[in-house]
Amino acid sequence: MSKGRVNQKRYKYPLPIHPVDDLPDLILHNPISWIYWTYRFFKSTNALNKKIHVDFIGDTTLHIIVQDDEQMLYLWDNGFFGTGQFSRSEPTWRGRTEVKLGLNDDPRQIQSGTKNDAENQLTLEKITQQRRQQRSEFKKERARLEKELLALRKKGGQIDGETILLEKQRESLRKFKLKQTEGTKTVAQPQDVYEFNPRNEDNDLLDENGELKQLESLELMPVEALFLTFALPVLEISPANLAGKLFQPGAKYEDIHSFVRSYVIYHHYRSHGWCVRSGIKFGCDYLLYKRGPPFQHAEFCVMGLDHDASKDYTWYSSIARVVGGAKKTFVLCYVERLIPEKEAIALWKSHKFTKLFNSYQVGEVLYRRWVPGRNRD
Amino acid sequence: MTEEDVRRVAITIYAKKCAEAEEVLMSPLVFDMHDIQLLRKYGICGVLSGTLPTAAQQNVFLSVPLRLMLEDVLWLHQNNLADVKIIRQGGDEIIAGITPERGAKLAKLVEDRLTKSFDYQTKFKKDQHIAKLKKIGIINDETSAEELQRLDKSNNNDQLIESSLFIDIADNSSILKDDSIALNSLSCDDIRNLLFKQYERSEKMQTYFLYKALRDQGYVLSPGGRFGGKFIAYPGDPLRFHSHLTIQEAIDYRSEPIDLISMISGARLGTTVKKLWVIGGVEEETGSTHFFSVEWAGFG
Amino acid sequence: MQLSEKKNGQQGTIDPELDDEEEEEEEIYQDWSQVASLVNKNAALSLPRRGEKDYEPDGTDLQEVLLYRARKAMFDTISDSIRGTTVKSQVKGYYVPHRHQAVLPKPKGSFMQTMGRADNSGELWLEFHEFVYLAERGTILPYYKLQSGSKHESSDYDVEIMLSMEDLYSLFSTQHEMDEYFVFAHLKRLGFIPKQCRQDMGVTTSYYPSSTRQNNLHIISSRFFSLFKIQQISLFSGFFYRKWNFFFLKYRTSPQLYQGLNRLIRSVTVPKTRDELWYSRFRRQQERGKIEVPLTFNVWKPCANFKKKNPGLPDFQIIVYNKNDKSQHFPTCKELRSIFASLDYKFEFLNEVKDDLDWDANSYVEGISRSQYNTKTASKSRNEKNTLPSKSLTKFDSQKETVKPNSKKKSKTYPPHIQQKRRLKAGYRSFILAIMDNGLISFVKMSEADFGSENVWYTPSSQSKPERKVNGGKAIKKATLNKT
Repeated sequence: MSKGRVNQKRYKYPLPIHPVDDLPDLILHNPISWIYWTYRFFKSTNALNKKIHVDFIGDTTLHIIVQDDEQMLYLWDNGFFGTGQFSRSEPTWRGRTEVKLGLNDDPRQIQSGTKNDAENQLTLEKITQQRRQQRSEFKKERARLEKELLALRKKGGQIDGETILLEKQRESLRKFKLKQTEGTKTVAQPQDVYEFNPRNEDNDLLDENGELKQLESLELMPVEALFLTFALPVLEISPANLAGKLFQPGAKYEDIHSFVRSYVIYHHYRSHGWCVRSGIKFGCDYLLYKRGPPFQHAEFCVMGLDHDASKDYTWYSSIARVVGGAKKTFVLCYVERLIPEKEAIALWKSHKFTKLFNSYQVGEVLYRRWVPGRNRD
Repeated sequence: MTEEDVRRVAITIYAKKCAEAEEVLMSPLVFDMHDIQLLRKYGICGVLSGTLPTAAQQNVFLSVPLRLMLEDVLWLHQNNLADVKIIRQGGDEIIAGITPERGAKLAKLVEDRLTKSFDYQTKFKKDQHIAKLKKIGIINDETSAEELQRLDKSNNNDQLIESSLFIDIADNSSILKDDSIALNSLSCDDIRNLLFKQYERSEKMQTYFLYKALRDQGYVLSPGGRFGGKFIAYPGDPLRFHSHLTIQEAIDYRSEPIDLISMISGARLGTTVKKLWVIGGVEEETGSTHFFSVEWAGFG
Repeated sequence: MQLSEKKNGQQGTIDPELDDEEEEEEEIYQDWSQVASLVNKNAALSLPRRGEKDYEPDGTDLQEVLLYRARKAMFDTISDSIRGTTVKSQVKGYYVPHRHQAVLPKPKGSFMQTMGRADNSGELWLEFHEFVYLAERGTILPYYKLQSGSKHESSDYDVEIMLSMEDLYSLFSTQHEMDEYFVFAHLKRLGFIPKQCRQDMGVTTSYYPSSTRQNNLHIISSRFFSLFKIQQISLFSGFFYRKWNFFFLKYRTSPQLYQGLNRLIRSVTVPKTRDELWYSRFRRQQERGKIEVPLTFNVWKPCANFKKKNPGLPDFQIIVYNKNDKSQHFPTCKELRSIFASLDYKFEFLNEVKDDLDWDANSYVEGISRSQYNTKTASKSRNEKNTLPSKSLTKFDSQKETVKPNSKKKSKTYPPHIQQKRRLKAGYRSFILAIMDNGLISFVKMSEADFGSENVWYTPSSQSKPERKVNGGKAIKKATLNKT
């Protein structure tokens, strides 16, 4: 199966709540079909059979985690919720470590949960590692050449001599880089398995049966957790209980404001079909993916702002620069509270979240660098 | 020390009354080419902002005036490298105050300048013309003066030269040089206070100290808004060196919290534009400045 | 003259990776030897072109030499680049303090096509920033004429003083005016035609028709929209978020789930079509009376047949903002909305819907459509001159007017999901913010966006027909987009 088809199958549902789409065909002129269909209809439900359990760890900062393997994978596959604590995004630590320690004789089984992956792809982590190594090698080479140049200069070289050397060096670096890109691996090779020599400490990772313990958990952002309980009944905790964990009972509006604003933005984009993930990589609040990370790169970077906010120009310009450099669009998301603070904090305390979130209004403005030279037509 | 080393650059700043009856200083501009060259030697490069007449359809290479940052002027003044004049009269006022006598004098100055220029141009063109004729072979070193004159007349040479004479617009003002203009005689301290007052209207004094610390070490500082900072710093003349530092506004690093997302954004920006993201502040007790840089690790 | 921009953008290191990167507004490496060669042909021979910069001082003589040469190239070029004109082609401009403008008694030159205003006596009046720009460029000679003697005397003896660049800059009344001038000059040099919004333009074109005509439209559309408001409040019951939701209701498709979810958060809808724009303008006028215009410049793209008396809708609008001036601040959301509401230019996002949009038919001058106005004035001048027969002239005029939009006809229509992506990435009404940073200018395009009106969920089903849905609480969605 091609990678595309695998992904289509694996990530079929965009949310952890699935539609009831397995009803039998209704044959209109057949009464038995009617009965059977109705029976199946009433027996079916969107709700999950077993809700997902979350744990709370940490003293100063609260971490919301899911520890069960199946549940972690379920949350990832159905909407890309959460981040693996030892991975870039998808929790793949266990699979990677098994391969690294040679516990898995099949080098192809790198991605957790997909045993028969015909197109053996390197994990994201491995690709990153490779990329970093290449970059470091490239920099070493470049530094060496720069030293050469400086030596020539110190010896009293002339401008012409320098120009010639520079050209030669440029050419050589170009060739070096080309060789690197050609050598880039996208497919796991058998020899990759044996790169790593297990150390004594690695024994601690194994349980009595010699199998690798699962040390990784899926960590949810507080807004994700709230979405997965308040908006969709997925987690085993009620919105009220979650709120109680996040904030103390005596909290004032200014304590919850930032979180409420974050949630409003999160819910807004999620509910229109976006896959919303943390934007910390690009120095902003959220990234918007159309279907999810495995499909396309994120198109938009969102920063949440209060309705009356006016920041220093440097704030806008640095984020825009980073976002623009990654070829994404920078969205300023302004959130306005339509009810007074007192009312808002009262609603929070009485757990009337629906009404609370319905009292905010979201508006967006795009911020893009504009170059006059390119707009002359 | 030679005279030139000590020579001070003349900087004129206009003070205008704004809406709240506050006195606001306009941005410092320098029009004199020699001063601009000297400033560059002192490590102040500024931003050239005027149209370059021979290449008027682009914005990469620009000409006089040179626009300075207020930090530049503060530093120059504190180091006694500039003669800062603050003019409280508006340009309109000054012009309106030109008496007929003075006006006549100023007009004469312009006339003299142009006449001198025309004479020089005329001579130059005539010499060129003669050289050309010599090259072609029409005349040689032996040709008499009358012969030359006759040739001139027949070509309408004089007329041609006259219509092609170039009238140039001066960069520097003669009007302002005149001492009869009521320029406030402010003491050095007054000027310093005015400059600092203007500065503190928009910035923290500590930011100036960051500037000063780097400038004293020989860095050249430029406006850094485009790169997500207050300044960018070059290890020397921008014509010759890359800048590899983006300096943020000063913070009280011992008590002010740093927004983590801003730091991440700044560090990431650093890798994007290939400059280190630098923050700094002034230690209260000693008055010394400290700088810190933040880099995105693992980018390689 | 063509400056190879690529060369300028190159940082010129030995790292080829950097060459590939887009270095638009990056540190533009100034290689003055290039320009020097244009100014003085001999210069090119004596200055070898250098493309490399160093990372730090290395104390070598070679570096010193390179620096010396780079500086020399720069300063020589500037010195050689004299401002002014020849005696033959001189045009004098006289500054008039009480009007803060300049008058040109004998105006001539191509600049007249885009700048200045002629009065009845044939003299040309320039706004102050236009005056400074032309003097700086060397196109006109700036003078100040002293009225000699007292006002009672009428003396022929007028003393003329040629002003210097320093004098001109001293005449800016505020820092903001000076910053506006720098932005003006920056755009002018690139060929754009900026005009101050508050400037008296002759004939102003607006996207919006005058209020009388809107009344009919208003009645229809206001009922239309008010209907929505009622729906918005009543339809949101929040049922989706109740505990027993999934007990009673069965959601058969993912979109249904989403639709339950997305009624919770209110979002601001923005005008996307002509009707919506008109309605929004009308509403604003009702609320606030006259529309305040906080904009600085209207800008037209470089245009060979620019008619300064009747230029039509600007291509974009600009606000100048000085980031170091604490009396100014980056606009808040409310201020941004206010700016968006006051915009009046060629709304380019309308081209997405209808790619052969005829701007003349869609903009208004003195109450009638621009195309009508143009034919009216054309026929008026024709009647006055009484020359050519009517048919051919009007045909010619209307052809001339509509040539521009048609010449850029897009023959491509994009599939719905691409159209949606374009809408999201481009936004709707936009303006340009020009940021002044101690002499360096950057530009930012601020656009209204509306993610609340777009749904991007994916369904694995084969259902893919775009539906027009009336969803409670939101304006009409163009299509619910499902990928096949």
